[in-house]
Amino acid sequence: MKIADTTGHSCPVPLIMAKKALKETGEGENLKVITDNKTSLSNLERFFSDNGMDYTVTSEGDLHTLIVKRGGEDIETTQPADYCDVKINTPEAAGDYSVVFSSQQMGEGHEDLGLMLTKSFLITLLASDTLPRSVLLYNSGVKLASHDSFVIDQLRELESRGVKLLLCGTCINFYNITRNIVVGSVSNMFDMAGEMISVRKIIKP
Amino acid sequence: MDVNLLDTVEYGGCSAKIPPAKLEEILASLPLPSDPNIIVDIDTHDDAGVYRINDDLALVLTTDFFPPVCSDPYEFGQIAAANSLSDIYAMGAVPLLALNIVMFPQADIPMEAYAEILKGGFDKATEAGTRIIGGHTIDDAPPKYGLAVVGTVSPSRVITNAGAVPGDRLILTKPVGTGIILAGQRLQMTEEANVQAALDSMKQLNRAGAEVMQQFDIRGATDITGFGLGGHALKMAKAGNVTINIEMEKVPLLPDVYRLADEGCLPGASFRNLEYATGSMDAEGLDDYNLRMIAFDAQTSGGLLISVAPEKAEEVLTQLIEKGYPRSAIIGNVTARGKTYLNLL
Repeated sequence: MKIADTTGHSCPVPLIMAKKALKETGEGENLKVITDNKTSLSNLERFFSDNGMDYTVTSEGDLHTLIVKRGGEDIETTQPADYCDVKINTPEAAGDYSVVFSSQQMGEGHEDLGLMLTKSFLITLLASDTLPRSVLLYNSGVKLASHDSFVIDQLRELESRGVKLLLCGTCINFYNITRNIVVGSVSNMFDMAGEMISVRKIIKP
Repeated sequence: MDVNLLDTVEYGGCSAKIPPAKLEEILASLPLPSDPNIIVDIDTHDDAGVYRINDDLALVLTTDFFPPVCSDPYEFGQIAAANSLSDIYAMGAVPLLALNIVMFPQADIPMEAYAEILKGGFDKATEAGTRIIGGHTIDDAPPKYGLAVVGTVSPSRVITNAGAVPGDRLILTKPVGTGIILAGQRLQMTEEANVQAALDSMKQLNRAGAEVMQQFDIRGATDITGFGLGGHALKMAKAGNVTINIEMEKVPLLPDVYRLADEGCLPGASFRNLEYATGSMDAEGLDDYNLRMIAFDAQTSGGLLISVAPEKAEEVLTQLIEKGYPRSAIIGNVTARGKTYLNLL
């Protein structure tokens, strides 16, 4: 899910950040906006309702989290963890590398084995000292970000820990799974290729 | 002296006005003085109070002050003074005398800045033909400046915000968007030239506009300030018990305002003003959300919103453009009181 963490900012910055994030939020994706400013919260609510967007608000002390429904996705499918997990950590020692999945499987061979390895890889990655700067999903790899994906928890955790999760929009459309995508940001070749060019190392498990 | 007055104002202070809905509620609980010579009081939320001295003379009183809207003390003084004088002009009056109202933190800011603010106010008052004959300063942060002004007008020629009648056209004399531009400046989202255009617009007196109004015997007008174009139009509609229709596409905007609004650079005051209008307004006919929010952008020293009979509208417009308000435009009309007081199209 796309996240705009506006904590520490007063109006109109939260709205600017939310609008920018909204533009980058794909159809069928939800946007999470976090604010610690009461006025900004009410202005954001006003903005979303005036623009006919469904949203929910959860507040914990001074922190308010809005989940904004964008297009197809049903807000109710959002995991409760997303509501509670209000403090977004900055990437802990984000490494200057990207992880690329061009399919759901790690390596070539038996499908069951490939899927198992993918999950195992992501769990290991989460436990490592240096998280990647980004995870790129393309071709059938985008299916990993689907709500019924076997690694959805791992991808959510990566994203919540500040790892950029970029999904190939063309691929999502090709497989016609827009409505199923529940994590990451829908991206394009320009940004994804740019990311691959700019990092020091690409890991393709 | 190198003072940036904007550093003295709390970041994101949005707008310093009390929310209009709250203000109305509080004012409603105060008993209004009863005196046959009071021609205009706070009952209609007009720009200034008007008191009849005799058949030929009425006094117009107003005051206004606010924290800095720009970095330069001299420029701030000019803008605050132009803004204070504006209420006098909106009533069709001529400002006669003024008093300075100053709050200044002498321990934090060099006194030269204080002198510059006063000089800006003095120069603007001189341009308006007004004498500042006194004032009052207290030590307070952030700095605030404005004038209390007394103007004169013939009682039969008072222009009020209750003077709009069905059939009238509405002319706006200055482009809107000062609140959005100032917010954009703080966030470094807009270029200096756009900020300067906004500052220049704020510095401009509504004096010539008032003269044109008197020349054409106008009876209904207001100036656009903290409640935004929509808020002031609504007050005008309520005061005159009419419906005001504004075509937002025709409203002149300061450069870069639309782009900034589209990026979400909407000061908190816009939302407060919108809140105030909700229930009295129909904006269903306006698809463009940015324009709706621009309609409620709080203006500092904005233009005059003039209600003019349709047969005179073009001529008044031509005069305004000639007299120094080149962005003047007919932006809407007045109809008999309908379902809502204000329609944004």
